[in-house]
This record gives sequence, structure tokens and C-alpha cells, in this order.
Amino acid sequence: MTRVTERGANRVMLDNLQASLQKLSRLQEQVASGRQINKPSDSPDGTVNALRYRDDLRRIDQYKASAQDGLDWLNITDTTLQKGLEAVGRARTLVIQARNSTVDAGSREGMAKEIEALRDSLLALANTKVGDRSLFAGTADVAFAYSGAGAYQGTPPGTAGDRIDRQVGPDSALRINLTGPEAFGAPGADVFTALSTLATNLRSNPNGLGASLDAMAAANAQMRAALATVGARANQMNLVIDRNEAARLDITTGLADVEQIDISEATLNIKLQEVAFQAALSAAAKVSRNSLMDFLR
Amino acid sequence: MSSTGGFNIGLTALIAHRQTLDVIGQNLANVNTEGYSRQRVNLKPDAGPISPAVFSIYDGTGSGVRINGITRLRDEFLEARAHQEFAYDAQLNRTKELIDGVETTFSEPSDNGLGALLGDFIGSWSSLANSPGELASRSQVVERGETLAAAIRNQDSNLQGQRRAATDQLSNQISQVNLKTRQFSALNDRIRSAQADGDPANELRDQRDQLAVELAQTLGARFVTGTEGAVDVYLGAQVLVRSESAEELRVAAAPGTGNVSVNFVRNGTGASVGGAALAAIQGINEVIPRYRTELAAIATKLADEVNAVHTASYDRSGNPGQAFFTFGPNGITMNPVVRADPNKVAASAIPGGNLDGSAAREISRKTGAQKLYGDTVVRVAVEAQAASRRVDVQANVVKQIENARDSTSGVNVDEEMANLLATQRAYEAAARFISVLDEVLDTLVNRLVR
Repeated sequence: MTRVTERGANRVMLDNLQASLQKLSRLQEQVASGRQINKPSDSPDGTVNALRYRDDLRRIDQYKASAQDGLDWLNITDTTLQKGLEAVGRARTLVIQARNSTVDAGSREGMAKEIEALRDSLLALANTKVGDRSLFAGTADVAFAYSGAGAYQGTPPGTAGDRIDRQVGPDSALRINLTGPEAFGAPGADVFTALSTLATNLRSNPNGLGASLDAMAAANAQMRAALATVGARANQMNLVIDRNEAARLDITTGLADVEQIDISEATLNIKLQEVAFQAALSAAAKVSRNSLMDFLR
Repeated sequence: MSSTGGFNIGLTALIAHRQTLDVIGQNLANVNTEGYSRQRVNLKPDAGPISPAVFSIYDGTGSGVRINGITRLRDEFLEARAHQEFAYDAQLNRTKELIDGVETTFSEPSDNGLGALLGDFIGSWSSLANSPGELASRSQVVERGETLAAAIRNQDSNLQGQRRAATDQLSNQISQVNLKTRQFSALNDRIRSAQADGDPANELRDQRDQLAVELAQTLGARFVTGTEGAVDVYLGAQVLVRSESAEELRVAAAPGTGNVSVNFVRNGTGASVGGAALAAIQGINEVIPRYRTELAAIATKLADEVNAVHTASYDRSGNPGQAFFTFGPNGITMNPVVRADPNKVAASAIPGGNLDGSAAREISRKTGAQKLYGDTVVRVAVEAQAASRRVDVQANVVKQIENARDSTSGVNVDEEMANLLATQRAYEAAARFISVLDEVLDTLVNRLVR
């Protein structure tokens, strides 16, 4: 027979109370912090998942910020090209009017002045900046994409640094920029040269107006193509943003599943544990009260 | 039979039961004393003279009761097993303490642990890729690089600090062990002389047993009963205490590595320790250095990933990039040149000073250091969890052993009370016996002879 001693019974009782209290305090820690994992050893695989989810979340947010930034850039390019197209359209109208034989030299001079003004405003559009960066200069560090004389100063297309990319996914980078020549035509054959030639033709070479009309049509086509490219990229960018948004939601849910506790479940568990603890306490109080001493006289 | 012999019988009974009462009192007094073993009085009937002599008259009845020693109730096999289990328990607990310390330095998952700092640093390159011309983005990269490097260094020095603290604690424990072995050998001496003089030595033995438990926990020592009531202490096959002489131990740290060992002072040979000391040695020589190495590998990976791109790229002025991270005597640091001038951060893949951000974009896609870090955190987590589970299992074993020891050696108040009553009655009976004898003699002396 196992002898039971007061000290032994006392220790067993204390051990049980301690174990019960430990469970209770762990549950309380979880509820207080709202987290299942308070240190890595609470759940090694939970910790790995939490680390991975947090990392993914941080990256998704980067992609989102980059995509949003890229979309802004594309939207500004879009607006700029729309305005440019209006200017080119106006120039075309003027050429068609000028080719009408009823237009006299004075009117032609007026038209030439307007064309020069259109050229200047188009040049100003081509020198649009986002922040302090020229929209159409590629990666070249220049104050303006085009000089006052209409010379392109940015990164030539097809050379290193003509692309500006935004990382919008682990393995996907989208190009967001157009270089000046891609938007406005190759140097020498660009819309600015065409407009200068047009102004000269209006003043002194009416025979050249036919060629100028073709040049206007070419510029129009070039800029429309550029606009289409920008629109397609903006679409892609929007898709990426939506996709990242969806991924973000999934990851946030996953992270909450791993890291956070179900409050109602945890509260219920605490209640159960409290009952167990109280039962242990009352049992302890009853057991340690009984002794032969009470019955001796 | 002599007419007064009966008084003597009564007297022996009175004396024996008085002493039994004392022993019961001693048991009750020590009901809560750690390491106390309950004691029992062995009573033995006194058989009277053994060799009849001229004047010795023996009529066949005994001549009372005699105390044949007071024994401690104790199971030596159980004690030996207890020592073993206590030693293992102490070892597991110390291991858990050490790995818990390492775990606190890897405080994950959190918003400000090394994982978050690594992510923030890599993320800052993404912002830089989007706006390579802005000083703010460059400064952010520098700022976060500096914070990250400092955090890695800090974590390493934290681990180093834990290692130092563990070494100090081990030295402290070993000097206490030296005190305890001296006490142990002194107790051996006193018990031997007490035995020789026939004095009671049970309380001294209890003290020595208590020391034995402590030595088992700290060193995983083994105990062998030697000659003349002495107990010898062994570490594996090495003698730590033999009778009245004790060996001294000392903690030696290897220069350079700082690896420790516990050696005998007398000849410098290594002692084969167990228990908490073994756990401390493993922690100091293996566990903490392993995580320091892993941390260093993370730092190297980070520096390699960033530097490989950075040195192949060009800074704001178009000059080739320098190393972003360098390694100093305290570990990873930011290159002071880059740190002093954010324009030295190389974000461009194209020479000549431009607004290309593709190099920064390349760095923002690196994940190697974060992966390594995740692996390390898992290893810490698994090791800490395993240590904690082992401690729980062993705690149950120890609990059982303690219950078994209690069952043999512990004092039960009810039992002592019952014995107290029985002894009290026996004492009363002996007293009554003497008074009856007195009446009998009274009849003989006062009434018969008139």
C-alpha cells in the first residue's frame, strides 16, 4: 500500500493547482494580446506561416504602391497625349483651310503664327513633368525632354535606360513610360519639326502644304498609337492592382487565422478553465482540512 | 526472581516509551522539513542475563524492553534513482532556460523584430526604384540599412551577453559545489565519529542526503556507500569525495573561443559532469554559438545579395557603386561612405548619372536573407518547444519519484498521532505496573510483617 503523507498530498494538490493556473494564465495571455502566438515556440509552423504572410503582405503593399505610382504616371501621359492630339488636330484643320485658294497672304501669316503657338504648346506638353522628372525623357537626368529648338535630349529609344519599369509582382515588371520619339516621332521627323516646316510653308511655300498635311496625318497616327499603348498599359496596371488587392485580402485572412485568436472560443475556454480551477481549489480546501486530530479528545 | 526486579522492568518500559514519544515528537516537528526521513524506534525485549553466574538468578522471564536503535525509513535504491532523475531534470531545465533566452532575441512574429526590419529595408529599395531622383527615398534606404545592421549587431551582442551570463553562472555554481563537497566530506567525518561513539547520527545523514540531492542536480553526481558510514561521491568514474577528502573543481574557459569545461583543480583533467552543469556547458559551447553562426550567415547573405547588385550599379552621380554593407569587428555595418552621402546609393544599372532605378528594383526583389532568417526562427522555435516538452515529461517522472520517496520517508501526521496514542497508553500501562508492584510490596512490607 502506498503511504500518503500530508506533505505529499500537499505537493500533489499544489502541482494540480499550478497546472490549472498555468493553463488559465496562458489563455488569459492569448486573450489579452489577441494573439495565439506570442513567441516562436508557441507554434513553430504557425510562426513560419506568420513570418511568410507578413513578408508577403509587405511585398504586396510595395507592388501596390509601385502599381499606383505607375498608374498615375500613365494617366498623366494619357492626358498629355490627348491634349497634344487636340493641338495636332487643330493644325490639320488649319492646313486644310490654308490649302483653300481663297485664303490670302495675311490670313496665312495669322495661321503660321497660330501654328507656331501650337508648336510651343505641344513642346510644353512634351516637357511635362511628374514631380521633378520629365515624362518623356526616359531615364536621362535632364531638366526638359525637348530643348526650346525642339531637339530631343532624353534617352534615345532602343538604348539602355529608355525604359522605366514598375515592379508589380514577384516576376512581373510593367513599363510605364514612353520616350519622346516614341510619342512624338523620331528626331527630324517629329511633330515639332513638322509644325515648324508647316509654319514656313504657310508663309513662303504653299506647294509644300500637301506634304505638311501628310506629316500632320503621320503625327496624328503616331500619337494615337502611343495613346493606345498607354491605355493598354493602364488597363494592365489596373488588373494588377485588383489582383494584388485580392491577394492582400487572402493573405490578411491567412495571417489572422495563424496569429490571432478566436475571441469567443478563447473566452469560452477561459470560462471552462476557471470552473476547473475553482473545483481544484475547493477540493484542495476540503482534503487538507481532514485530520485525525479533529476526532481525538 | 528478586522482589524489586519488576521495578526495573517497569522502568525500562517507561524509558523506552519516553524516548519513543521524543522520536514521534521529532517526526511531527519535521513534518514539513525538506529532506527529512521519518524515524522509528526499534524496541526489543530484554532477555536478561545471557550467561548465568554465581549471583545471577534467571527465572525465565525477560527483564523489560530495550531500545535497539532508531532507524531512518529510507529506500536506498529509490534514492539512487531519484538522484539520477533529479540530475536529468536539472539538466533539461537548464537547457530550456538557455534556449528560452535565445528565443527571446528572436521575438517573432512581431512588427519590430528582425523579420520586419529586413522587410522594411528591402521595401525601401522598392520606393527608391520608383523615385531614384529623390533624396528622401535615398535617405530612407540609408536609414533603414543602418537600423537593420544595428539590429543584427545588437542581437548578436545580446546572444554573446547570454553566453557570458551563462558562463558566470556556471562558475558560481561550481564554487558552490566546492563548498558543498567540503561540507559533504566534513559530514562523512562527523557521522563516522558519531557512529564510533554510538551517538545518533540520523539528522547528520539527512543533511548529507540533502547535499547529495543538490550535487546530483548540479553535477549529476553518483553516490556509493563507503566504509564506516561514509558516502563517496563520483562523477562518472572519477572520485569527487572519498570519505573525508574532497576534490576541488574549477571552470576553465578556452582563450579565443570562450568554450568552457569543468576541470579538477588538482591535475587539470576534465570532469565528466552531468546535470545542470552539462546543460550549461552545451549551451555555452554549442547552442548559443550555433545561433550566433546562423545570425552571421543571415548578415552575410544580406550583405552578399545587396552588395552584388550595388557594386555592379551606379550612384546618383554616375560613379560605380561601392559595397553597401561592410563587416567590422562587431559584425555587419553600413559602409560609412554611403551612409554619409545618400547620393552614393547606387540605384541605376546604367553609368553616367541618370534616373534609372532598375538596380534598386533588382535589390527589392531579393529574398534570400529573409528566407534564411525564417529558417533560423523555425529552428529556434522547434528547439525551444522540444526543450519545453522534455521538461514537462521529466517533471512528471520527478513527481512520481518524489511521491514514492514521500511514501517511504515522509511523515504522516495521522500515523504519528496513532503511534503517539499507542505509546502514551504503553507509558500509562508501565506506570500502572510500577504502582501495582508498589502496592504488592506494600502488602509484603507493611501488612505482613507487623
